[in-house]
Amino acid sequence: MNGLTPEPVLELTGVMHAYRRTVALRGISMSVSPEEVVAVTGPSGCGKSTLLHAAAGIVRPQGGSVRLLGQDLGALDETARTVLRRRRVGIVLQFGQLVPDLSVLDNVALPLLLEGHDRATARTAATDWLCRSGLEAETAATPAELSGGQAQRAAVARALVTGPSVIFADEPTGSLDTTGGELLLDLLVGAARERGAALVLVTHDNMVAARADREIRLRDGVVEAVTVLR
Amino acid sequence: MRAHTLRLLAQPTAAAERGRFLLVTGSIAVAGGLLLVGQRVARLYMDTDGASSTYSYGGLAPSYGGLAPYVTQAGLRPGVVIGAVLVTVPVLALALQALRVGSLARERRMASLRLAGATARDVRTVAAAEAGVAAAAGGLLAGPAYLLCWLMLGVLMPAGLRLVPTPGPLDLLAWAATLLVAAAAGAIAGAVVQKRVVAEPLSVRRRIGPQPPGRANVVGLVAGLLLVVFGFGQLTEAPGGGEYLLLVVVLVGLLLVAFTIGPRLVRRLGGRLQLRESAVDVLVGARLHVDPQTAGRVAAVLVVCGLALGVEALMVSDLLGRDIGNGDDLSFYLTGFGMAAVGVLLVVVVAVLTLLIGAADQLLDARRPLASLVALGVDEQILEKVLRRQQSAAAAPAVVLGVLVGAAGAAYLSGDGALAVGLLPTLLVAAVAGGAVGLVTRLAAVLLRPRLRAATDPENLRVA
Ligand SMILES: Nc1ncnc2c1ncn2[C@@H]1O[C@H](COP(=O)(O)OP(=O)(O)OP(=O)(O)O)[C@@H](O)[C@H]1O
Ligand SMILES: [Mg+2]
Repeated sequence: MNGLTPEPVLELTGVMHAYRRTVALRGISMSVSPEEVVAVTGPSGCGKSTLLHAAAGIVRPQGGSVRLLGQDLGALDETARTVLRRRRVGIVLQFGQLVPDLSVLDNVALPLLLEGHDRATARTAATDWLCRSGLEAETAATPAELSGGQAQRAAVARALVTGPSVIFADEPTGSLDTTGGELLLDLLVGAARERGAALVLVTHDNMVAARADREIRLRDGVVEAVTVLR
Repeated sequence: MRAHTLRLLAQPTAAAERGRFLLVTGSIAVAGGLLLVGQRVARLYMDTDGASSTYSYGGLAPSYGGLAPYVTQAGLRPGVVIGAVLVTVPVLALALQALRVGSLARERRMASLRLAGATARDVRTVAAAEAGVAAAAGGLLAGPAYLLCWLMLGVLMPAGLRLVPTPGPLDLLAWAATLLVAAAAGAIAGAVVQKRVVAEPLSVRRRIGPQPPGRANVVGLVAGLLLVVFGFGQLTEAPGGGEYLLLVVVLVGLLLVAFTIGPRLVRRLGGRLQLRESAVDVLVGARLHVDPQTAGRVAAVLVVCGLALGVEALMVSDLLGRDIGNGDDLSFYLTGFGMAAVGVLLVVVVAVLTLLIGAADQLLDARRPLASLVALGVDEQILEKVLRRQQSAAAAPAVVLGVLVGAAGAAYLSGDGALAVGLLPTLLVAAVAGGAVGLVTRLAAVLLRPRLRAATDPENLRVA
């Protein structure tokens, strides 16, 4: 390393992945620097979600390699990938990611609890993030009792509670209206920039993509264009 | 995972989860209660009636505690104990089946736990804790269940017919042991069952399909066969004092054989059915071929039930054919056989309940293909027929086979023309038993109708 270009937190090289009938990714190479906010855009079905899942180690791509936070994901087993994700990665999906029968507070505290922290410590940290997400009144509610926007903000709080180095978000505003989406993005992008975490944001919304440092456009499983926005 | 986290995650909160919990707890309580009854009856040889010198070792005066001769006579007592223990086998199989049952809510929960950072091992630990707690609760309730048995089969029965003696202090020790074993076994079973469910951060898959022919299976089969051959051989050689022990040996062997080859035979049957013309047969065959476990285990239980019925059929007809002359003796035997028949009936009901739960589970698994079949125009009535046939395809032949083999075995043992007398009654019993199982599975299909409707909901087409 020469100090000028820091080692990327995420590096994909020739990543390929096919489902039973469709080829979703046909050799994707890209990298994300620390603290960078990257938007991944493209038409429906172009492979954005698959890319995100492969990058986060949720899906094992059939070809190519993924380096996440200095680790070759292909060389890690399922448990090691889960632990890496739990400690240093935050994930926000479009909807339905909270554990249904746990309170909002416990949902947000869960990564810390699984990591072996005390209940009190975990709950304090979770409460902080819930306050910041404007959910201080909803801590005792169950996910079913939240509005879509509230649930997404709780998911963001959970993704941030461990102080991750990389955050992956797949259409986090996809099920929200404009105001709700703005609120959520402020929280997500704001926290990432403030904490110096890299953010990979999948979206098909140009307004959302405009908040990134760089936009990577996919088409049909390949990178079509890369635009530096700031 | 730390204790406070485990406690947080292992609570059954969803309604479907609570149902599962109750089923496990309930069946463990019943099984535990029966085992406690068994050990109490077995311990009767330690009781003294003040006049035991007149009776052979371990025997009690006929009037002792108003107990039935089946338990006071040292020679008959093991039969009651064996009966109680055998009835627990299908009840435990029911508990295992209840553990296997998933629900949409549960699958979603497991996947969301994984997404939140739980490892596959964490999820297994949660499952083990859930099952362990449910089983421990069952172990705890085994005590009251035992007391209930005592009330019903001891206190409330007329003197001379009582089967369960008054509980003693040693029962407390046995209860504690039951509790510990139940908790440990439940936790292990919970973890093992969860191993078959692959919870990933985005979805849950089940590892269904043919199990690799594990070494345990082969060992079980060989051990079972050896036990049967050995026990049977000894039985014909020297029908003397140890015949109950030998009977236990034969029965354990039969159970082992039935449980190890049951699923394989069912899989075969499924393969055969798939080759037929009718759409229903093909669908039934496919289900049985892919997941023969539940049907196989239930078939195993039913074969053994059939065996018991067959043996009884032959012995009763032999008894009636012979001129005993003494009406008391005859009623003594017939009451015994009647009790055994009630036990077998209970087992059959439990076995069919197991099938029912298994089928509900399969419906959950198959909701997507089922919904698409309906979307393609296969109507629900055909699916209901498939469901019904899927239950009875293996169960009815199993019970019939059991009756025939049991009667043949008993005829071989008692010799001198027993078969000739017993042939017609045996065939009759076989037909009735097979028909009854068919009828019960028909009822089961009706009970499953709402589940089927839910599974065929077009909404399921959107479930991954
Ligand atoms: N689990 C799956 N099984 C089979 N095919 C899948 C699966 N997931 C995705 N695909 C297919 O892979 C391709 C890429 O899917 P992906 O979800 O990555 O697209 P996307 O860009 O996220 O689309 P959208 O914007 O609609 O979310 C699509 O053609 C999709 O049909
Ligand atoms: Mg997508």
